[in-house]
Amino acid sequence: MAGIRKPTATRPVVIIGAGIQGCATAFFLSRRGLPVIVLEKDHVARHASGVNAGGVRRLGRDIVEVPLSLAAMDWWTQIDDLLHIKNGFHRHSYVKLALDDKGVTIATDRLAAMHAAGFTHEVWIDRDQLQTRIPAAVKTAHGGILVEGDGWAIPWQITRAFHDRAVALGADFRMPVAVQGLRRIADHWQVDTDSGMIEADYLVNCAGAWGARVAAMAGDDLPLEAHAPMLVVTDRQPHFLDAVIGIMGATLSFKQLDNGAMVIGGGVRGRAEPATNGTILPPAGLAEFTATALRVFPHLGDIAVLRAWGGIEGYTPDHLPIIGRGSQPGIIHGFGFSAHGFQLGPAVGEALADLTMARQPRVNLDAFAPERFTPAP
Amino acid sequence: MTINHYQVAVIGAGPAGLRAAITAAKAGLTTLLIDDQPAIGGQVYRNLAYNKDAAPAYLGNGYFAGTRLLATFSQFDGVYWPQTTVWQITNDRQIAITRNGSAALVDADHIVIATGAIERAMPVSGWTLPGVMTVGGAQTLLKQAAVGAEDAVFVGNGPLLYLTAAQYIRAGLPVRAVLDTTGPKAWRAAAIHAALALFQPAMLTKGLSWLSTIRRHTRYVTGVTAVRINGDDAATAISFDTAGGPSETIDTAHVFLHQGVIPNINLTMATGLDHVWDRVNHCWRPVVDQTGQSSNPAIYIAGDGGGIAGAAAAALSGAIAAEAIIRRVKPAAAPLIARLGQRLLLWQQGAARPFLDRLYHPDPAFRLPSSDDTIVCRCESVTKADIAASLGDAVTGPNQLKAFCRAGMGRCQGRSCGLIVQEMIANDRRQTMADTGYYRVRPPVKPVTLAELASLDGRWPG
Amino acid sequence: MFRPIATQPDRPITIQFESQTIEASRDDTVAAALLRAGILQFRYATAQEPRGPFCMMGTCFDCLVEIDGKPNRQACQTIVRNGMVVRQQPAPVAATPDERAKP
Repeated sequence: MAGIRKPTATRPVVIIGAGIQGCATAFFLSRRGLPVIVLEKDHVARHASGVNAGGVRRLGRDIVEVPLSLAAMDWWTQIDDLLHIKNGFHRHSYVKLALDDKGVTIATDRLAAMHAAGFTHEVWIDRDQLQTRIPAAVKTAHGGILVEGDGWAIPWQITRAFHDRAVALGADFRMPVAVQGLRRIADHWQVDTDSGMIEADYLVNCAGAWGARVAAMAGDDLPLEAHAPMLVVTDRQPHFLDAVIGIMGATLSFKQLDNGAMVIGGGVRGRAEPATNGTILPPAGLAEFTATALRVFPHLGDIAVLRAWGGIEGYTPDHLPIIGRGSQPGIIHGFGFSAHGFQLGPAVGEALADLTMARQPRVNLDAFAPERFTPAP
Repeated sequence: MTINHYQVAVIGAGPAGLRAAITAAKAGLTTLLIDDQPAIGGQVYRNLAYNKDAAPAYLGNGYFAGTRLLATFSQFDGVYWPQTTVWQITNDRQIAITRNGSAALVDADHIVIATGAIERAMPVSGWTLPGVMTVGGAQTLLKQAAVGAEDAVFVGNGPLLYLTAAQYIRAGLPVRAVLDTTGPKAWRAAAIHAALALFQPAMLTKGLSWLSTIRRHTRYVTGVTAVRINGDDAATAISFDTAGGPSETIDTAHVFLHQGVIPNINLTMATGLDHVWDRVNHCWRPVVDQTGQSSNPAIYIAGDGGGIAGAAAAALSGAIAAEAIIRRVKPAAAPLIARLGQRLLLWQQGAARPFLDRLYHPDPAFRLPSSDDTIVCRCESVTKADIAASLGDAVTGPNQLKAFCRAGMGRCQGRSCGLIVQEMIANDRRQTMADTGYYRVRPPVKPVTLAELASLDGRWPG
Repeated sequence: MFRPIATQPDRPITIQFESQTIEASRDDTVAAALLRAGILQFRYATAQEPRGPFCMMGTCFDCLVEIDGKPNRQACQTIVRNGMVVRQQPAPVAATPDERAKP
């Protein structure tokens, strides 16, 4: 831990990226009175944080992510007060259906592992219980895994709200500003941007799909691929669904918004072109998860899809985020959330703020250490 | 999922698409013509294949001039898919379509997009009331179903408005009034291009004849500066102002609006092609070279979709695009004289455009919503006041507006409101239209049902 | 009111619009048939206001009707079929959680 000092008032913390992780970190640091500059090459929530499916779930997490997810949920349950918004968290339940025997087996194995590790938020519901909860679901579903109290949010609304509160607490968001280089000089950093050079005591790398590019500027060679998970929004229907729906062993995320429209996603990947902010949506990919949606809700066949899109997201080889200190002093990484970072955002922001201030984060982050990708000497 | 492969796929069966498809097929290229209507002709020659027998004279010579072009289609030996909707074109030229209730993918080496033009929105108060239509819509109803309204009021300016009013009058439909919104400034801006217009005399004589018919058979009011359509559940009257004159109200249940046509850019934008802001015509159009080649070298744009120039120019541009594609497939020197001749003809067929484009340039008063309660986004019923309340530092362009109100999030993906919203933001931020940008248009370019979309996937019964 | 011009071609097709029976020609669009029959209000939009056909070319999406049980079909893009049942497209209101649609 040599070289880490508690931050002084001389230079700010510079956060790179104004997605959910960057904005949440800016919020927590500003709340604690630290000077914060956020550099964003486009605008708040332009990429994955603005256009994801908005699932706020503990369900279906990799077991090593569960503590972080549970910590995040503590923040979600008070998100309206925290961010001065109304109805930010649409809280109800999340269900991953087991549509066939294979799904049941996956569910059984998963529940055994979860419960053995002491996590009880995921429970099995049988066919009858499923039908009672979700009458519109296909009658042949065997049951599913339920988490009460999961739900959804509007991703750009929450990300913007973190931004707005951070600004109100003194954070300085500079957009559009692109970071071009990072230089460690004596006891601080110099950040080269397309609008001039900024000095920082600490850097927090929340650059999402561009996180590895930024990490490389600081001498950290970390693996990341950019893809564009795809979603569609449909026409409105009279309200028939409160829960968010997934499927055991298949890619689907399905919810109904307050206005009756449905947002369908799950993670089928389109192509991302990070250099141009471009996303390419293969029609066959769109067909894949809409066909899956109709397996669950066959009555929706005549409902129209009005638009499709993809968000540019960064994926690590093990699909776990990179959260932790870089190899040089004074840089913290928080990126690579592999299409499931939205719900974690509040807890990640808090953890990155803790790391910046040399405090022990509430949650053990060892599983997300950048070093796991550094080849052993 | 079925994938068919063609050397050339042409999208749109108006004059540009027809000439492109016929030309490509005649040169021996495997050719597919896709169109969303049940019959060829596009908008300008809508229903001509049926009408030529019934021969309603009121539709005029310009319409029947299309008969020869449509007749040549009988020799087309490519594949023709009517009632087929194109909802996406990928970078590698896969065309996603729906027909007969299911979706399919078509592979094409080259694509000609000939989807033509749409009406420019004219957001006057009350423009969403039943009984209010575009002039183009009224004309389509006339051509397609021989149906018209009595005592309608035509509002706006531009050749299509005068033509349709003249067709109405000749069809025996009494027209209550034609309210012309062309202002004195427009005449001044157009005057220096008047000489060029003399190279396209047919256009001028036609226009003068339409205006003469209008003047003789209905009330023709010029210099209209403001308009409001009244009614609760349907249009009942129209109030208007002229420069220096008193406000007047005319009772009518039908108002037909028009202030020009603009390229239909939803498909070209969703396909990721480069576009440029056209300052003279106050619209977006795809970037194309003189053969119609877009920023994707295998995709060509022909007809009004690449820039408004009318039906005759459209047909010629379709031929030019097809010939450029043929040269890519079978490189052979086309005679320079012939190509120069084509260019000259293309120029001549659009010679009056600089004059007409400036004369009928839409006035800001009619490009922008007139009052706070005027609907801007028709799909989501978002008013001028709703949008104005959302503007601010965070709304740097139309895409950022979507975080604050639902403008642009409806089914039409900006076809009605896009330019209006763009201009409201440009004015708010004191920046140019070009810098303000446009909605990010996404596939599906037209709505596709979940069942249709799923039918592309092998696991779903189609 | 919209009316037909001059001679009447055959109207061999019959369609239903709400409680009205309407005659149509074989190549009529649903929009043309309804307008000819004097119907101007095809649907209700987001703010519960009535709308009817505007562009007649498939770009405004104001002519949406329910056709043979299928919602939000563009009347101007659909050719009539004998026996077709057309209904006004209701406003896109999201009902309360109590009012659940039957699958």
